[in-house]
Order: sequence, then structure tokens, then C-alpha cells
Amino acid sequence: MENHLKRHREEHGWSQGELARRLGVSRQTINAVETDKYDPSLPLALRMAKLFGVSVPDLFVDHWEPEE
Amino acid sequence: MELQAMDNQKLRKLLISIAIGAVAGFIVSFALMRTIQTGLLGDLGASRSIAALLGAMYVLCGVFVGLGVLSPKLGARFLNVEDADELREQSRMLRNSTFGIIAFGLSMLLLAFAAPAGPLPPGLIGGSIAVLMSVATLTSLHTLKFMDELNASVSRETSVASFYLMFFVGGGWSVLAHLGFVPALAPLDWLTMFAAAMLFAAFWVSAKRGLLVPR
Repeated sequence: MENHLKRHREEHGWSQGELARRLGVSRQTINAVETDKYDPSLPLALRMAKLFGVSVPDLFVDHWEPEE
Repeated sequence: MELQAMDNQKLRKLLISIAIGAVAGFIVSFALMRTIQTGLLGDLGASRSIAALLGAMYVLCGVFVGLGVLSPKLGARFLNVEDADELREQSRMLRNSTFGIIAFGLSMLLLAFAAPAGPLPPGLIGGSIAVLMSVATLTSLHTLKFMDELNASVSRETSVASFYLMFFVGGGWSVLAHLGFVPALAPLDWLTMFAAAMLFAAFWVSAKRGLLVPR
């Protein structure tokens, strides 16, 4: 799933370690999400969105569209 | 320019890590095989030798992780982390993992050297393995407390991948053995297969989740 985590993190001037500390996860998790290797759980996605003051769809982009 | 320097630094670290792992792996394997070949440990045969080799690899992995926990600055040079602080942040989880990995590796080594083919009495081995497996189980359970969701996901996926590897490889072999096409696996071979499946699955899942990408 495409995401804008890295852009938001860099806009805040935070390192992966700093973001990991604020979210209570490992740096590996932040790195894996940013490189599209891991989709976070809903609670973590919500926490990320809350931290950056955006909505989850602003952070994570799903190109799926419902069939007509 | 800065990115290029960073890439070069990562490449250098990757090459150092591979070199250290390869050299240490070769030395341990060579020393172990030479010792087995001398006959000092009895007539172990291929099955026990492979089990011992795999056990030694587990111990070696555990020692590397343990070194990283004891000296994060040193560990950051050869373990795939951003810096020493990352090792410090994960030290509680890694410390437990170290105990678990080494305990499992030692168990495989002890089993390989057990009588009648090996020199160690079965009673002593049985007792030692009960202690080592208790340590491995307790430390694994304790590790759960310090895992975040990626760690937990990797752990679950590794377990699932190991199960299917065992099912297809071990199950497939059992089918062939039942039909008389191949000899049946010995109990130690099953344990070796389990240890190999876990190791392979751990690397495969870690690679899939980007944990082996140089940092």
C-alpha cells in the first residue's frame, strides 16, 4: 500500500528513531512501513495520523475502487 | 553527493557484515567438522554431523546478537541496524533472543553428541536439554513483552512458514518413506529439519519485510 509517512515525517523534521519513539514502536517498523514492506495495524495507522494531524487516507493510499 | 556517501557507507557495512559472518561461519564449521572427523567424538555419521553443524550455526548467530547487546557500538558495525542506539533500544528483546537462540543451538549440539554414537550419556543430555529448552521457552515468552507489532508479525509469519516447510518437506519425505522409495527419517533428522526450517523461514520473512536491506 502506498503511503506518505516519510514525507510527513520529514516535514516535521523527525528521524525514523524520533518517530518510532513517539509512536512506541521500533525503528525497523517505521522503516518497513516507509519502504512499503509492511502495512501497519489500524491502531498504529490511527496513531500515526493523529500524530501528524491528518486523516488515515492522507497517510495511506489505497487505489482500490468498488465495482459498479 | 551526500546520498552517494551514505550508499557507500551502507555498502561497506554490508560487505563487512557478510565477510565477518562468512569467515566466522567457515571457521566454526571447519573446526567442528575437523573435530568430528578425528573420531574424538565417536562415529557420528552424516545425520549427527549435520545436526551439530546446524546447532553451531544457531550458537554463532546467538553469539553475534549477544555481542551486539553487550557492546552496541561494536554490534552496530556488523548487525543490520542504523546505529548503536537502535541496539540499545532493542536490547531487552535481543538479550532474550540471544539466550533462546544459544539454548536451542546447544541442544542440537548435545543431541548430536549423545551416546551411543557420541560420547555423552543420554541421561545427562536429556536433563541438559530439559533445562535449555525451559530457558528457551521462558525467554521466548518474556520476549513477547518487548515486541512491537512488526516483530510480532515477523515472528508469526516465521512460525507459519516453518510449519508449511515442515509439512511439505517432512511430510513429502514421509510419504515417500511410507511407500518405500526412500529411507525413513531418524528422530534427530526431524529435529534438524525443524531447526533448518525455522532458520530459513526467519531469513525469508525478514527479507520479505525489508529487515535485511542494509541500513
